[in-house]
Amino acid sequence: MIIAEKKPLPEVLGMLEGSSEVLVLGCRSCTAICLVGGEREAMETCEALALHSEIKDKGWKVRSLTVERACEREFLTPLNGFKGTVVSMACGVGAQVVQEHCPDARVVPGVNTSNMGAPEGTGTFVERCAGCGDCILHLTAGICPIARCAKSLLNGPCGGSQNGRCEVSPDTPCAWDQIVKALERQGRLDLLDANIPPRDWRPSRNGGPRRIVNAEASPGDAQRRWREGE
Amino acid sequence: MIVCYCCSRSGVPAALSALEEGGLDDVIVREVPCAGSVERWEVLRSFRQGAEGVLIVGCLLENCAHHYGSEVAARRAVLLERTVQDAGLSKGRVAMVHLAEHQPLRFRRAVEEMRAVIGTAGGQA
Amino acid sequence: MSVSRLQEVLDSGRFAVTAEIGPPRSCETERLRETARALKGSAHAFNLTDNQAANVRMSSIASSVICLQEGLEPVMQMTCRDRNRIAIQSDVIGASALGIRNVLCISGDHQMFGDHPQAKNVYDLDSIQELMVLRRMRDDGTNWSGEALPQPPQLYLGAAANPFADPFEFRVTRLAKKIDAGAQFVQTQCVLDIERFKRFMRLAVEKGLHERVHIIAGVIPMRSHKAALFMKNKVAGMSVPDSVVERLRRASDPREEGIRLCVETMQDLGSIRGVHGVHITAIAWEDIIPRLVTEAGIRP
Repeated sequence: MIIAEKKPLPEVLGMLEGSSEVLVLGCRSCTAICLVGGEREAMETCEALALHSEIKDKGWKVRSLTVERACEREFLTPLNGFKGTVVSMACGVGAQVVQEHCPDARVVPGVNTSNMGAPEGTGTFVERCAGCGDCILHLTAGICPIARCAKSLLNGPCGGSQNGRCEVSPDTPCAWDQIVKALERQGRLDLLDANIPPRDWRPSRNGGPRRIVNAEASPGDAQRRWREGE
Repeated sequence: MIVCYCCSRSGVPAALSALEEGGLDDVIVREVPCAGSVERWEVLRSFRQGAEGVLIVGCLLENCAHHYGSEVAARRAVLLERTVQDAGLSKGRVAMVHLAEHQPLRFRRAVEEMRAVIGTAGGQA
Repeated sequence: MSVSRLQEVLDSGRFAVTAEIGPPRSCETERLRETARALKGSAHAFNLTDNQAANVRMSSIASSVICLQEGLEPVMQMTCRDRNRIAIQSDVIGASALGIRNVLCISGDHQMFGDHPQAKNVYDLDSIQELMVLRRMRDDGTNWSGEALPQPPQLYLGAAANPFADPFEFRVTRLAKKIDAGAQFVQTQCVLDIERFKRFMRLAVEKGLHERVHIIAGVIPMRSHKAALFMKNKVAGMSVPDSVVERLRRASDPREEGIRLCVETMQDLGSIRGVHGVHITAIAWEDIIPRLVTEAGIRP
């Protein structure tokens, strides 16, 4: 899922200057699961903004609303025609789709979207995938060196790997140490004998925003133009 | 006005005993099943409803009926105190109190400490 | 055929000596020239580091050229941290055009350790891929995309190896990977834990790697036990035995003891099978290098 982090309240307050109607929008998908942008957190932010408005006499009319998934417009119908300020507790994707859905609204981020990760124990979330667009997990024992190595190395650990830890932080396991140990356990260390050549980063974010088309679900450009009577 | 979210097992009996002794007219007790169940938005709303301080009153850490409810509540209280400050109130307006049901004195002392905090800054300043 | 003196020395089976020169933090060209003049003749070639420890310094290309002008043979270090494949190829073509032949391909210290931890790193390539790209330029006469190079760069390619990092056994595999990718010489992390280094070399020799690459063992002179402790506790990928720390702590003159220790280490290393040279890293103590090589009896 997408992992986000709460934005400091003073930063959010600073974005609201000149607002009158404020809607704190929660999302029941990823940011709810990582405990920063679900219904509870949206209500909390709503109360905090309202409290600030009362203390500082800002006159904001604040309410909160939580939708199933802010990144799909079919769930955003309750926002139809909204013209005030939206504090998005959804990820950056949700925030942008909300802005597309409500072109006259001012959408501001209530969270910092960080990465694609998974929970580690309770309340801790760790990055797992960098969305680089060319998956090589079959070569690396299911552990991604692009996302989990501080240098995104593709051919083994750098000289800073010691006792299974990354040189950048003793709290971070060395991804390559994990890969080598996992392949050793599986008896597949020979996978690492061949060097991985320089990779093609085009499927990563180098070509601007990526567009993935599902051949079955998408009508295709020609069909779409015909249907839309262009 | 000090709003006290009190755990039904420890906080409520302790608070009621303390209230019987008198002198706590500024205290409002809200019963909750566990200190860990107090929502952050609820606490913030209390301030909008006129609270000058909020106490979250739960079991002793090693004795929580819900194992870690009291612990979560303590961490939450720290974050809430920060949020309330960020929203514009002076510091120290949210505090966690750990006690057992037979410790009304501890409850009274916590209220007095919160009064002192409120007193220095005054009202909802 | 040799493209550089370092290659000539190593290929002829002689014991090579290389030493590190940290480029200045700014345009202190004269200071760099003085260091170069003072060190001339103390080693076969001199490494010019590439923004070492991720601190901004004079570029390794510029400082290599200055050393060339002073009659020293440079080993230009080139990290993958600050350049993508376009910049790496362009810089290496430029460096070769200016007369630089020895290039050390390394991934580079992470920017977190330097003076610009806010920087965005590149890592378009890793050190092994950098070797692959540079070898193709030289051997196939094309850049990585296949475009022909009418006059390809002349290069002697090096890599780094750290026998003291983990996982230990994989370090030898990684050395083999670097050789496969094109490394002709390898400079290792500073050896203070000679026992572990011997184990590493045994494994490397078992695999026949010493016949495919010239291994140059790193050494470092230390001025006090505090320096040793710093490396033990603060530098990632270093192994410093307690006996070394103790020896320096007990010494009446730690500076002299550090020099003796370094000289002894160099002599020990020379007798290890597969070791073809030493690389001296004397951080901010470069003027000690002539004395070290003289006392060890390895002056070129």
